[in-house]
Amino acid sequence: MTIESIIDGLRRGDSEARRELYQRYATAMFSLVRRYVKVRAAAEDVFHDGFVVLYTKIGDYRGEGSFEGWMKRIFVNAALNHLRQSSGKGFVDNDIGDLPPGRTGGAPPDALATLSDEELRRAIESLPEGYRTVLNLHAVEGYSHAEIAQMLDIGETTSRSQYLRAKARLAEIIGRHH
Amino acid sequence: MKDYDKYDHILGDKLSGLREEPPADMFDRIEATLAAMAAAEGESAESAREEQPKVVPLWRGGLWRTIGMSVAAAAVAVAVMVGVRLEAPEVFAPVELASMPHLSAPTRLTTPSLPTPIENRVAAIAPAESWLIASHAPLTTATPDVEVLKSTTSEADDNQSTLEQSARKSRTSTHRKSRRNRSRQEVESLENYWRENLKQESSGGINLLRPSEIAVVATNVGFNNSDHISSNIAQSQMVASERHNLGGTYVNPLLQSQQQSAELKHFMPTTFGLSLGYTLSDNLSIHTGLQFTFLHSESQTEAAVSRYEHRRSMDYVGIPIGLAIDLVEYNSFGLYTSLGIAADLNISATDGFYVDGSIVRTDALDVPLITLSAEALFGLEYNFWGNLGLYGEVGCTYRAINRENYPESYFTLHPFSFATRFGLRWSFN
Repeated sequence: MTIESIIDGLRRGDSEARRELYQRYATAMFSLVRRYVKVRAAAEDVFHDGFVVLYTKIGDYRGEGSFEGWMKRIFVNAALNHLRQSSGKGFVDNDIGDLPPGRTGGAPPDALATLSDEELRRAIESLPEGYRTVLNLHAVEGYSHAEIAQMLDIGETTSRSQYLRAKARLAEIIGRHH
Repeated sequence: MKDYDKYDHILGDKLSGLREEPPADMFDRIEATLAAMAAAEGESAESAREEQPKVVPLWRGGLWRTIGMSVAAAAVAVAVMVGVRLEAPEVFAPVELASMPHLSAPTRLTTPSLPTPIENRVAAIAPAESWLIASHAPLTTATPDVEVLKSTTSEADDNQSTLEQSARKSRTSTHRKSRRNRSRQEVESLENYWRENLKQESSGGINLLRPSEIAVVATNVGFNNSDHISSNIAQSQMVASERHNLGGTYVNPLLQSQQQSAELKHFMPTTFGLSLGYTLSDNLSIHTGLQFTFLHSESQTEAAVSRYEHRRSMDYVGIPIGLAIDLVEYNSFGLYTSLGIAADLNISATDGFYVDGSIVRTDALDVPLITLSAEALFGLEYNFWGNLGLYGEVGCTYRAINRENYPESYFTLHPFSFATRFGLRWSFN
């Protein structure tokens, strides 16, 4: 089935279209959620809610931009809502660290490239929540710091500093392992 | 590419490449959730369809329905108010006019046969005064028959005896003598007054007191200046005739040395309303409905013998219509200013005359039916239950009144005046 036919099927409420879409994108979307939500059980709930919203709000997709990008935004928003509700405070971490822009600190980029998926996952999970969130939004989803600031209700400068600190912390963790 | 750019690129690739499988039953869980949502949505839609006919907000019933309910409530209120106001209580048991032949045909006072207390006192008067009784005949061609008077005042005589006993306790003998002397002078002055001032009708008689008035006078005879029936009757008849001839203010010669003529004191009217407010925009609304205005004036004359009161009341029901501009809103409170006009319909206009708190006569006043007015008000409203609220307004109003056609009242003296209103308002849009 093409993605267009799947979308048409979803609008008709076709269960086969729902199953087809789930089989195509379930792993990717669950992995996306796991990068934001540290606890697996909570990540399953966010993943479940994300698909429910996707199936019920399919009518909101008007064909502008890629369907995959639209779908990712649904799951990112679901993860952010979960983090916002569970933390009860903002996404700003008060971990003070003075690092000049551009410095990665610690290990060189090659060390990052040789890192296994499991090691990288554990390193990401060990980051503070705010660092991890900004890191995922900027490095993986490709949002600008201005967009991140609007999504997380923080300042743009804060978003930049949080990202730098996230990389520094990650480099420090990688460096300890190597 | 600089190191940090390369680092970011690698980091992004590595993170996006992370894969983790969801639980195997996740799709079934999602399908179950969707099914439950669909079922719940169907039930709520069905129940909403079933319940909708029962939940109809009042304002959806239409503007006319709301107006009709307000008019019905106002009609009930007006009916109760009018019914209570116009009834003048009877002070004593009414006497049939048929038993009062002197009211239709003049009679002459005959030598009395006097078994009753009053008649005993009449019989005991000095010979110099006894001629006065007979002399009433040429002065007045219609005087109360003693027999008739006896029948109407027997009950009052009992009251008089009781009153006199209590009054006697507070009087000194000296005071009593001066009162007796004064009464003779007063009787003579009354005679002169009658000869010179009272009008004589073509039928030959003057207006007499009604039976209830005679009874009132008899009750109060203990507090009068004299124990003589002639002076009491004369005083009473003079009061009655002066009221008839002189209208709103009267001068009692007996009291002239003691009291100036009583002028009406006019009280600022009170207006109560049942209002409807229709919202035109965020700051504008129209107010209309029904308003009830109660106009009251009174005068009081305290004399040595009695207390005379004159109470004038005029009641109106009107329809105001005005444009209100919202100034400030805070929670359920709102301040506004209003400009408008009103048409008030007169539903009651009476003059009531009281002697010692007992009504002796009620006269209907001739008042124009409709009074127009313009007003500018500042108001405060408090919504205490949904769209229903209380309001209070102060400001100024101008009434288009022709003083020649209106009896004296607050309206005629202050056509442009301070105004206060309060009531209930139902707002809708």
